[in-house]
Amino acid sequence: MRKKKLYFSILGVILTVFLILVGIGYYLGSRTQSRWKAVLVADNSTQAGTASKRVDRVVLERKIQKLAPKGVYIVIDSGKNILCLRKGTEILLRAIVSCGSGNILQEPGGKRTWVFDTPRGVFSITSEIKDPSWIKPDWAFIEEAKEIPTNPNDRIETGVLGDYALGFGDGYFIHGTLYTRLLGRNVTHGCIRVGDKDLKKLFVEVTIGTPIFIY
Amino acid sequence: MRTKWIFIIFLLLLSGGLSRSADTETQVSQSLQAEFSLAVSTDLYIVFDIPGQKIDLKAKGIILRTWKIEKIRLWGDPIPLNPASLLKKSALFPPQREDIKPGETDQETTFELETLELSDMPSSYTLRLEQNISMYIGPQSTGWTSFLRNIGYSLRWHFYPPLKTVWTKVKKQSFTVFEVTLENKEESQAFYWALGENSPFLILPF
Repeated sequence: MRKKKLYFSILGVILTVFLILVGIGYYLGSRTQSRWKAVLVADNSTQAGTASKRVDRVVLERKIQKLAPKGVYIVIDSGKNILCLRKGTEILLRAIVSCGSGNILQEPGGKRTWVFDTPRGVFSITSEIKDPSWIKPDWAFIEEAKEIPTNPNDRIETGVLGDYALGFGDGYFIHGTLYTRLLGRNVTHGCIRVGDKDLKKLFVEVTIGTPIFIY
Repeated sequence: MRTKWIFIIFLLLLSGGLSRSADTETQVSQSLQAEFSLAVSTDLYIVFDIPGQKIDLKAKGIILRTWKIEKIRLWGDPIPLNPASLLKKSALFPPQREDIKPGETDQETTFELETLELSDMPSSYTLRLEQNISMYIGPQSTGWTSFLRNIGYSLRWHFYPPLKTVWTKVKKQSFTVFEVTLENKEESQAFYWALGENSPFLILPF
């Protein structure tokens, strides 16, 4: 009985301390909430008048607008596997694609590891190739548990990248595919696979230097 | 006499309007200045627009994707209009990458895919940003678990931020926390997907 009482007392003390701390937190929190607007008002008191602020705003808006691409650009949503060719806010082409699988390949007995993600960020088209051949990198042989060839010609594989390929650096390409049923899924080793018709339209519209935004 | 009073009231109203307008102009130019510095120096960045109730993923000033904020609650210290980088994404069940076993059957021909896709992303997660900023992101709860979930989120919101406030005051640090509810599960997962390592955030508070 005494033990029970002791336990309840300890529990009561802990709970009271906890609630007091929460109460103090609420008090301090309510004080900081009111500082949100106070900070801005203080900032403003040191600033110049409204007219000059408006001028600043227009100048900054123009500066930001100038950073945007002038012509067409590509936007790729690697999660939804959608590629859009845009000009300004207008969408010229919307294609279902395949992006990186996110899988990991470890070289057996070696030190090399590959993560098959489509890279994210801002890129630009660096090469345009008709009837491309795939020069298989080391990971392609390791994945198939085959020996890495010493003769460079043994790495060449034709007919797997479709009719066109658009390079955007570090060995990544926007290219065609034999596996059209997998468009819309994350299955690639980092490249972006596009269906034949969409790829042809893309190839016609873009040039070297066309910006690519991938997220 | 009446005309004089009307004139005074008019002047008072006008001065109030002008000061509000100056406030707005300052905020807009400060946020534009911060965005310009981001647009020049980084690839992708997030603009967390609280008054606009939206999150924009942007690059070079272009909006790439927008998420609508359904509800937002905030607690803690005011944030300066400086970009804050994402330090960590944490979730109860974070997505796991699959290891490829060399020489296994080609997935593409069998159509048995084991890859990391949007649907594998968590829908409720926490983002830790620089300047001691935390964000609880989640979808609007629906279905039979929503009641239990809401109780959990409510307890977290009403106890954790006050306690953390006490702790950070003792350590003389700032602390800000947001609870953000997005439209649905898919939108929440898509936002998790879009966040890269060290993604810079620009939070527009007013």
